[in-house]
Amino acid sequence: MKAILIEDDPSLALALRRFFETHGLVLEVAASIKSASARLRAEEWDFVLLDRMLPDGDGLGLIPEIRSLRPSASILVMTARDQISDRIQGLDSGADDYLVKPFNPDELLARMRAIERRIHSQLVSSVLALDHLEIDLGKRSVWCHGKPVELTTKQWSVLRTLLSRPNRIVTRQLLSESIYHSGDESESNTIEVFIHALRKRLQTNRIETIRGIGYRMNTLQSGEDG
Amino acid sequence: MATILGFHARSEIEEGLDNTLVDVSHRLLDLAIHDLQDGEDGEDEEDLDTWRQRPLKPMVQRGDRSYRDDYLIYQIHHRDGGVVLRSEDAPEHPLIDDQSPGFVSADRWRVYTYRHPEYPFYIQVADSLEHRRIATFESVIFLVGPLLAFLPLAGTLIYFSVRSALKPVGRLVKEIEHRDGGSLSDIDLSRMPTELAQIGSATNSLLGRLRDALDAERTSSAQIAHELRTPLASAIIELATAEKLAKGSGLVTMIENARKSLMSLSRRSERLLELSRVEQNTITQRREFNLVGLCQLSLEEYCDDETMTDAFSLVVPENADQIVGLGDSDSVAIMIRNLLDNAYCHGRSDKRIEIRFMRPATVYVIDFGPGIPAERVDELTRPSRRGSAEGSGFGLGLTIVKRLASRMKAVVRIKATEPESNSGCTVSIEFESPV
Repeated sequence: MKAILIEDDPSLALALRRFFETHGLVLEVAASIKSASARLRAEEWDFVLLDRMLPDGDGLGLIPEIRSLRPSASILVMTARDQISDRIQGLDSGADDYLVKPFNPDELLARMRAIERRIHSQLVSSVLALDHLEIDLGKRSVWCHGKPVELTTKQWSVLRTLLSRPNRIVTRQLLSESIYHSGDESESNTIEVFIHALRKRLQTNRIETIRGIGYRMNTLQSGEDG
Repeated sequence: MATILGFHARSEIEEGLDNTLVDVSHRLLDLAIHDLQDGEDGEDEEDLDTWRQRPLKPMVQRGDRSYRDDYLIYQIHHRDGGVVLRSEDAPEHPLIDDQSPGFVSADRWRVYTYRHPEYPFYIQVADSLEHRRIATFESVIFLVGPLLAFLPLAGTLIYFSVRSALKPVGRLVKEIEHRDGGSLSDIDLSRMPTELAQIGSATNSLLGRLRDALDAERTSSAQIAHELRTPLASAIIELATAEKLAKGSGLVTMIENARKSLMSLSRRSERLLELSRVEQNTITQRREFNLVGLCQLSLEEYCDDETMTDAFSLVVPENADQIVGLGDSDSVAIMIRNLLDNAYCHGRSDKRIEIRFMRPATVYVIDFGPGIPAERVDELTRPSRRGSAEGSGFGLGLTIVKRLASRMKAVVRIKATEPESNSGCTVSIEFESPV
């Protein structure tokens, strides 16, 4: 696992680096958006640990660049900003997870492993079995009770975005961005329409509505961890 | 006002007509006496005294009906005799018996009597009362009627004009009303009249200063949080590393205790930061929020691992869309997080906690632990009062919840427990609702 930490506080950066080393992991450090941008262009990364309050701006502003340069990299935002509106902002920006300082470093590693497991399971086997559903993300096919289900392009985008963060809340903003290019206009109830269509076509109640925030795809079978 | 105008108009018309009677009587009597003196058919002057014996004859030529002469009639009387001359439409008998000069209203007539100062004649000129009434009525109608028709029209026009003129004021009031901690943008002055633009401009200036002050305060709060939390995070991570490296040595326990103390310090500093924010009243938004969704997000944020996730059971009601509160969502999330933390720390050892909802906007956090005795409920909202010696929580949490609640006009209720019942503790928050 190749991870980069974008953090301007030298003592925190050093502490995390040492902690990662004790677990046999390597952690590179960039202290600003500018230097991080250069490192991101130069090398491949599996993980980006991103602080928000950087000397040359809000770390969230770097996320689109990360997504464009390293689409397979996972992004975990670490920040002292703990308001719920900050968290929603972080989720809206496309981060995979959001961790508030100070945190237990074991928790940080646990979350990174959970993200890694999720991605790995998608890469190794792109077929997800859920109740009566078989969802093949690689082939873009869905089978319900053994019969194929046709989904439109946008319905697939919504489903894929929900499955990219299983059992975690995905905001409406993020879902909207997944189906519309920037500059396109969407109606305020468009996401509801797509979610309703997905629930109906997939005949599933695993897509949970988080009122006022977004949606969550529950993929846990009974007895499994999250 | 129409009535007063009507009465005044009538009075003026009566006066005018009376004046006419006076003028006519003076001229007619002089003319009549002059004619009488000339005699009939140009004969020599006669003794006027003999006229009381002469037959009556009208002054107006027969056949001349170019004007109506029945509105005005006259009789010329000899002082000692009867009617010596009359108009064609006047009766032969005297109109009234009274010879006194002046006005009398009698029968169908308004009669004016005038005595000649030299000769023994007097004239009575009469004006039909019916005519007067018709004339007065028509005058009042044509005077007051248009006014009566015009006044409501004028009133309506004035009403709509004023309303239209005041619309910009209403717009300005609405714009100002919509400004709150979450919306301090400038008011659009482009469509505002010059008179109001100054007020709008002054308001924008004030909003700008408020924006700067709030931004500075928020930045300062965020900066303080960053400056406090980052070194704490460093220290905790360093101790975690030391704990791993010291495994097997006698220092592990000490390092673990140090790390736990730091975690405890970190949690306390979070509460103190929250309390500081509450005291500074930086939280000023007032927006609608879905209480169920906000609790779901807060719960996801609070649960660090699967053990914690399994401890909580959030019961989503069927009418979740209708459970909408009014207030600052960041403050609500702080309150929820504090309740979750209290329930997790003070609840049962198997950590079973339920979160339930009720319309319009009430959330219940129920743990099934030892609960809180009635006598301790009030104490707990004072800072630094702990609920239980067994728990690891602080008294700050409930204090923060109560202070935020009072800011947001929400009501916090703590259900006390029966002694030795182990029925747990239920804390509810009822938020203001737009519904």
